[in-house]
Amino acid sequence: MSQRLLIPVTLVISACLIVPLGGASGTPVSFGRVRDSFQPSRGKIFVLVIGNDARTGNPNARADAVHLAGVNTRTMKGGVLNFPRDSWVPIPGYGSGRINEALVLGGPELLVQTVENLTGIKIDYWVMVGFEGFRGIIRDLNGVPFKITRSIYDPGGSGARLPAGKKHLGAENALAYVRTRKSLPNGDIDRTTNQGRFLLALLRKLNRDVARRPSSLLAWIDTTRRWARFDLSPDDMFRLGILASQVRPRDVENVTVPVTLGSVGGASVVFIQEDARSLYTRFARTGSL
Amino acid sequence: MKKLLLGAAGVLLAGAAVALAYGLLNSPDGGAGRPAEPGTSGPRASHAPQAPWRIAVYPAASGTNPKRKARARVEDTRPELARLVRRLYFALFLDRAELPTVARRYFETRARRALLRSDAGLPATTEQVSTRMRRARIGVEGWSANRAAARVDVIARALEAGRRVRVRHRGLLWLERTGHGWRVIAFDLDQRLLRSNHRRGSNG
Repeated sequence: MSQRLLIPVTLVISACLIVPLGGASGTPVSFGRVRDSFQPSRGKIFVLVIGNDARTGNPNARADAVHLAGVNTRTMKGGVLNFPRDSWVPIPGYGSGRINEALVLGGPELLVQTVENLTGIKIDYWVMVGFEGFRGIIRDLNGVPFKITRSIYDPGGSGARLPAGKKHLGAENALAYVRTRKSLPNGDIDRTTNQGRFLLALLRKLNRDVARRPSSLLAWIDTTRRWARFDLSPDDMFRLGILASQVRPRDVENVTVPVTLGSVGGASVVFIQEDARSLYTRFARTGSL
Repeated sequence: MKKLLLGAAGVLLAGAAVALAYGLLNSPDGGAGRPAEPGTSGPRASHAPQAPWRIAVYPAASGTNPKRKARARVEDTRPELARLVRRLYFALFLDRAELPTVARRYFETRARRALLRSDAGLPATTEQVSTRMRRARIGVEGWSANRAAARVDVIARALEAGRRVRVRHRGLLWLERTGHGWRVIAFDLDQRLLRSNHRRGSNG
């Protein structure tokens, strides 16, 4: 992974819309926009976003959220591919198991390896947060505007009491939203999709914050540095932040891998369908879904 | 008579003070009272009045207010960051010939190519360039002071082939400190026409 951190930074013009003023004199004064953004040499970046269930003092955390976020830095289109935590997958060196067990068995590195083997996509970075980290991030960002499409009421589980509509989710409500599964029709599968939606809401907020005040990106990086674990150098994080601030959320698809319900040894799991292969191939090739 | 002489002397002194302040504010580097930097005395800047630079450098951090150490770290970056912004915009608006030198000094390789390929700023053929507003707000990463984001706003007037143009420029510079000082690693420059008329030779 450390070599991948040294991805050479290349910068190209992503858009150059110089509009000549015109006129009989053929005046060369130009108006429009010149942009220049972070470009990795491969033109695509993949980041594994991991949410674990670590509360304070719980060292054996499992991954309750596994999302592969990708962006094509030329088209500036991207995708978030969501994996339900009970997905039954091969775990390198450990036979098969639920995808969330890879984190307990070998940390984020093994989870990255597991997802790489599953999808054939080379993952550049990983970022991981636990409960406290998630709360801390949302608190430092002063909440996240979010549209809840259907009311969520799960007092016995996540503690969510969230009526449908546009909300400004604070730390507790945001955590409750991304944790809720019992009250959702498709349980953990719907939760996984909701987590992807929340990631897009974060991207939307980043876009707005940076558009209004560019230096807020530095505050976002500071927040991430304080509350999350990751394998990015500060320089890489800065460049990724610049890139992310230019990706429009509407150009990012949120897709959950197709699964079927099943059981292994009496435990309920989900099996990823064969259809997912075409998703992986497209994602690897284009960086978007 | 004595009162009259004193009054006249006062008026003269006040006039001299105003002239001095005006001269300092409109020095080629645009800084209030700062000496001109090397290579910043452009041909299009010598006569037309130039707005003074207003440059704010502040620590960008999340959550609580930045600590004293962070503020001090950021304060240390102020001179070089301010110089970078002043030199870059002097080249973009007042002395286009300086742009390759400034880009080489302050831009990362690919960003430099992108800048030099673009038509940002005013071309060398414009005359009587007068900046009416020059402002920069530079947020510097508080905990390391190694990364920064600068928002730069410039309003300028110029005469282009007898046509007076008024330009509003808004730039966003992403900066990183390297072993060779601060470098622009990415940017986003947006330039709009505010208004124009055809009063040939007018200083409008």
